[in-house]
Amino acid sequence: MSIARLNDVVKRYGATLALDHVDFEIAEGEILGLLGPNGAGKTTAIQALTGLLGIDSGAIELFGRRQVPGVMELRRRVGLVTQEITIFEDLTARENLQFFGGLYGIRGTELAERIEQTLEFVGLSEYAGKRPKKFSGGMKRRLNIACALTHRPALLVMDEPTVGIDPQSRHHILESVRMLQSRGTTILYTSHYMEEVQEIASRVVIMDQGHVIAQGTVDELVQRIQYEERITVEAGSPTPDLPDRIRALPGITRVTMEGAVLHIESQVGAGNLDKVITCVQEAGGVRAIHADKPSLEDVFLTLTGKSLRDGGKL
Amino acid sequence: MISLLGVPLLIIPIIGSVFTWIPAGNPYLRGAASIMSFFAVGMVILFQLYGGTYSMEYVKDIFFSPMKWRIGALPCTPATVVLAILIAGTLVSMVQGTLLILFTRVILGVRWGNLGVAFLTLLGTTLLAQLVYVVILLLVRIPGLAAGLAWMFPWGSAALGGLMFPLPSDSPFFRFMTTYGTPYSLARTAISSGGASSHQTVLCIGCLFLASALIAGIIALLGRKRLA
Repeated sequence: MSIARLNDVVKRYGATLALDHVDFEIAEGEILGLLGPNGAGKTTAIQALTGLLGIDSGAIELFGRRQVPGVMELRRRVGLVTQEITIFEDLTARENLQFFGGLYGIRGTELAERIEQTLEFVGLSEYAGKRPKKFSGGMKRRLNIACALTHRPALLVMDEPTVGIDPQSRHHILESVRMLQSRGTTILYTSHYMEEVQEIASRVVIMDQGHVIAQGTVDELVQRIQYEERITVEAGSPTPDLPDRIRALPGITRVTMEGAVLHIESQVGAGNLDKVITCVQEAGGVRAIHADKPSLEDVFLTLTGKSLRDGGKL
Repeated sequence: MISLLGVPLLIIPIIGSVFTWIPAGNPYLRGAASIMSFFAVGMVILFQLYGGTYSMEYVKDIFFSPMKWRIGALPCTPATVVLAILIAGTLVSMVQGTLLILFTRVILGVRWGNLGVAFLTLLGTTLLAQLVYVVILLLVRIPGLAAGLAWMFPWGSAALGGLMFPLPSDSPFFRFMTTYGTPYSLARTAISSGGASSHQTVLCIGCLFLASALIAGIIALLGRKRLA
């Protein structure tokens, strides 16, 4: 069942088309990964979805209601983890949660209990009485997430929640996201770190320049690109004609050789691994071999011709 | 908070002591009982006008930073948030002003006239200052520039009101400016006439509240466009 749907959404900033007929939906209980380089339109899509921005055309549906800026009932059911750290540094961690939780209408012992549970959930219980001024980047990020959790939202929207933090904090955050999903929270998770999205997302929407260029499960997206696998072979003593011999095999799309290392790409369903090994063995033996399934990075590169990690630049 | 309370606590006794050679009847003091009373009343009004910086800083920190997205996602309107900031800013500033009035009255023997009038004037001045600072920020929309422009409000108001230096008392323009022409003048006139001329007191306090109401209306109109 879908709990959120963007239908043909267009958003312009002057002459710039930030969202260009964007369509996607979020199913209840899933983690939907929203991938794209900086400037792809991810944050604009999130702001439109959460009612922070009006749209020029199209429609957004949230929990079965039309989303327009200012609908308070919808805001109560959504938690937003902002890309920038938006906490009050003059308040303690606990006071931050009191402030934001209180604005969601939670009061008294219920609020106090939720605050303790939330602090424990993000691993900040022992820092509850400390001001975030002296927190590490990772701790601030975790508090930033906690501020969106106290009211127990049905939909949690996380905009690049792991930017600029250490691997331990990143791991903690990803684990927390999985745990939230297991408790029934639906999550929209945006990132330009494809490994994160590949690791946690049930489905992925890839955006570039305001468009949705692909969506589906990771496996479905990988199936869309034109090679089944990448094979890297280190040959014992490769002959100059070895690349041509491999290229001649049916289904091989690309072969490059750097020294004794061959990089081979093979089409879907060609099943060329055995044949490649045979070729290389005949040409002096195999020292090492490595086969990779394509990743989301490869999907993105194939669909856009751009690298995700470099902010969409070649 | 410390600077807006501590600075006047330091400045008032020092200036009041240094300028004791100015006699009570000097036109510069505009009828004040002593130089200490003149400066104390003036400085308290000045710092109340400057206290608008509280509201401006919070509006800036919340609506002119990424915090606006977090606040915008909460189930409350920007108008509610701004109203809460203005109320909090006014209350904090009022507490400061009250402490200053009590300190200067008890410790320095400053004559505040009718205390009810003094506190009502303080409230009008404080409210106006909080609103003026916020409206400047909403009009300019560049926090640094707004802070610079806002700084001119208390100091310009006090200078034209005759606090920093004597203004020609024979000029109708300056006579008007020092009596009704600026928020500082209105507050000063209300306090100095408190108990003696109820008509003038009501007029001055009324002007402070009327100006506050007008600026609140402008904030409501501007806020819908600029804080949504």
